[in-house]
Amino acid sequence: MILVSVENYLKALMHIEFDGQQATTSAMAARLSVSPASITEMTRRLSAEGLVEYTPYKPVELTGQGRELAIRVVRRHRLWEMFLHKVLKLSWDQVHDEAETLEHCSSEKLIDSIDAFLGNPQFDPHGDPIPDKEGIFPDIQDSKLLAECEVGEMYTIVRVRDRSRDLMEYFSDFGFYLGKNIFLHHKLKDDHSMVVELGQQKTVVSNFIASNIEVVRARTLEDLKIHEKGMVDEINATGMLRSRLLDLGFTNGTEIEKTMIAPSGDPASYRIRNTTIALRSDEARKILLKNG
Amino acid sequence: MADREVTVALAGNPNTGKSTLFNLFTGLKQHTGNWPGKTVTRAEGSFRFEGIKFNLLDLPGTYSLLSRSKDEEIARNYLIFNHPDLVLVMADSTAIERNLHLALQILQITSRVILVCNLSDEARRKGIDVRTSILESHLGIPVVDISASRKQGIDRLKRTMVRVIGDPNPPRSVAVDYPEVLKQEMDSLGNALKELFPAQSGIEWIVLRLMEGDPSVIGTIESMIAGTDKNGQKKSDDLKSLRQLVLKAQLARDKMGFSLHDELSVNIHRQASAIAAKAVFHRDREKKTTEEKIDRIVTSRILGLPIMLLLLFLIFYITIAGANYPSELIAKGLFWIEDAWAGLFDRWQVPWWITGFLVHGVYKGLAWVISVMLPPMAIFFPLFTFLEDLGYLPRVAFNLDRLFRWSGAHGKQALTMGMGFGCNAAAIISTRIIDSPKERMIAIVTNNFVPCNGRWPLLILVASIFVGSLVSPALATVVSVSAVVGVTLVGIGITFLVNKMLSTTLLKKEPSSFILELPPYRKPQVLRILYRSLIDRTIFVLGRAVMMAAPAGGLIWILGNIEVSDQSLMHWAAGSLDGFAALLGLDGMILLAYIIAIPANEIVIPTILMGYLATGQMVDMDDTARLGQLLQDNGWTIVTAVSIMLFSVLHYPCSTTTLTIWKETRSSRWTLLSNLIPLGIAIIVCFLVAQTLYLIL
Repeated sequence: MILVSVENYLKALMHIEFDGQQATTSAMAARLSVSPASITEMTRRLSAEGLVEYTPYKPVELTGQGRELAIRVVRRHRLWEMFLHKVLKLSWDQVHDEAETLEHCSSEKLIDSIDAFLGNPQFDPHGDPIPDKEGIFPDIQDSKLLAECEVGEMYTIVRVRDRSRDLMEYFSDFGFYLGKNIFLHHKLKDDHSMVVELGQQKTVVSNFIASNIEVVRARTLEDLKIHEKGMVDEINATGMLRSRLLDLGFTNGTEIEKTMIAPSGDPASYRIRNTTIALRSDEARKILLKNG
Repeated sequence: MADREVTVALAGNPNTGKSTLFNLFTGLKQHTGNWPGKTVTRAEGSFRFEGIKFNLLDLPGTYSLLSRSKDEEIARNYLIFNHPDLVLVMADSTAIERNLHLALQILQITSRVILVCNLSDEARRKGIDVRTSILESHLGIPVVDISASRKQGIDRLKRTMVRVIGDPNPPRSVAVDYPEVLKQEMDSLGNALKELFPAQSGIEWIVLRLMEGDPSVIGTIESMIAGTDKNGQKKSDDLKSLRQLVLKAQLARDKMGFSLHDELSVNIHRQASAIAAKAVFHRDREKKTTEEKIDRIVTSRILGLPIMLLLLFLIFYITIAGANYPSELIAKGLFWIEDAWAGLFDRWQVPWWITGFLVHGVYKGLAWVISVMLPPMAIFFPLFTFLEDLGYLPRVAFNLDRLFRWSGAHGKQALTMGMGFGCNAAAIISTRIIDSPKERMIAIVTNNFVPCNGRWPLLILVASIFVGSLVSPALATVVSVSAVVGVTLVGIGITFLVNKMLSTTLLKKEPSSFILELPPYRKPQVLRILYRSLIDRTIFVLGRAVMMAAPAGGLIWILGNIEVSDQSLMHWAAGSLDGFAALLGLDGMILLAYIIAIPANEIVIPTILMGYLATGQMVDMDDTARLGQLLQDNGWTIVTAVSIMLFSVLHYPCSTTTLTIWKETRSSRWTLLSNLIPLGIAIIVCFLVAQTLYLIL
């Protein structure tokens, strides 16, 4: 089973480098839950094979060859997670453990077929980027932590950080998933927890949880370019405006195309259900689009 | 044999050609008014076909019946409680899916419905194929495709109407799929309601309204109970059970945990889109239509605004240039009658003061107003209505909305202002196109700041006599035109300021939303344009103006002809106003003319001249040079000219407009404010400008 350890070692090293930390022996040991002695042993071996660079009393670094191997493991892991989630409908919290095993015993050919079958996805179910065949990662959106977001805005979940089973179960139970639009209703002053709206449900989220959810500002009708199409997710408005928009057919799943922009840049017109409706950007901003 | 009479309600989305069909059916046998207690137009008319008299009622155009807007409330309550024998639901064949949303809702209230797919020719041209037979099988009601503008399919529609009316069994229409929880609640509440009103149709829909806590529906049902011939005890029992039912309905809604309106909208839209997917076929979907090309030009960054200004300029030019000759002709005719009438009275030895009051006062006032108002309106309104019918005007609102939004107003105010250049009274009525109450009120109050047809002649006359003469003759025209454009821009600037002021103070709390439909361009229909612009607008406004002008003509004559201590009342009154008027750069006679000529701005100049010349009746002068001399002799300077131009643009709406404001708002407070705000601004602006000019000159 030495092979498994090599791959896990390289993967752990890459994650540590990715997070911008220093790969000391103790950090690696903590990450892989093994003794420092076995880490030192493995470091020496891999250094001899030219996969890592190692000078005593300094952090370990991946060589080009080592990084290549590590990226390949990450690719297998994330594609398996995606496959289990999308195709076998395993829940969010179940896929990681299964992928941990599967990543070590899949041929490149199998992984490439999974990639093609899934339509070359760019992100895994947790929002982490999947490297392509050449080992290149897709561009990552500028996301921020939900805990640092502003009240009264609508966001889209793009990534979750902590992979603990506990947290993933919580996410599944309460309907947090990638691409889900989430409205930050207000923050509680004393303990930094916050009240969010998911769909029409209000939920309290602790500061710890909010620090593990990465979001971007939600995409709305306003973000569409001219002649670009989008699909309505929901309307983030109440009262008369909400009823008016519903009556005109701005309901979940409706396809919309931006057709014109007024000379001054606002309002813009949209093609919906074979009619043309003009909305001000204030109103367009309240109509959220589905992601992906 | 006595005719059978049936009531037919006409419902549908806005812009589906409802009024075209209505006019086609009823011709001139129609009358318009307002819904009781509302400012929403109500048009009724009738026609006979195969021995049946059809009484047609045009319901307000709405997208849905689920909301609490004024229009939807009227349409909804009418359909639920007035039990029309037949409902024609007008649909736009080019957008069947969205139109089905309303049709499906109406089908829950009554199944005596015919779906009328209008604009079928336009749909065919756009490659949209609507299969009426498939619609029929899915909806369970007759579906007829017509083209109201080309008068195609009208007879077939009439025969279908006769058939549905004559059928003792109403068609079984399709049911909306409500969510299971909701269906159970609706059934149990519906059964309870049926015990109270066994004859009522559309029970399900009433239950939904009760769940929403709709006060107008609850109120109507309460008054229905009060109106029955049951005894007092039974009535109060019924009322009690109704109140319990209302309470239960609202509890049920709260228990369901979803928004009723959302749930219904989504369900009905889903059903509508499923039906449309089966019955509507698109060919050449990707082909860019001419319409899109035109739209791209008229809303483009570079050409959008120039095209708009050019069209506006053309309309004004045609109006002003074209109105001159007919105005003169009418004036000649009407004043010839005045002379003939006066001559006749003289021969009959009628006392001079009767002749004076009736002929030179009341009649002359009327004649004057008609001759100067009628031709410009008869030219301006058809041109404006043409652009309206074409579908261009919503694009103007689209282009200019940003500007209006800054001042807290709606882009459609640009259209009501455009109308105001023709006539402020007609413009007040046209504010009905603005749906949100706040923006509509703003547009009403500020419309006075755009000078109407009645004010142009004064502006042009004064500018050419006093401003144009300041420069060399070669430049005179350019300079005087610039002066007129300048004061007009002052009026527009003040419109935006007052917009801003109102939207941030008095009307701050009113909710508002923009949402503007850009309907497809349509070939304007000449007859409809003429009907609407001449009957609905010109004659209507002229009628109101005449009502106001007649007494004013009499009053002006009395003031000019009753003398106290060798001076007419007019001079006494003008004299007492002189001091205050001087502060504003005007004189007492000008101010007096603005007060007594309030029915119409057109008679301000004639009244001033009458005062200066002491002729005892209103006069006009064709010779501009002589007129200029006369004004200068009476102390007019460039300051007077600037002040009167500003005062003319700003002062207050004429009484015809004020009456219209009151009829539209039914609010004495806002009617008063629409007069006081402009008056205050006119006084302040004229005072500041006149005093500054006195200091400089």
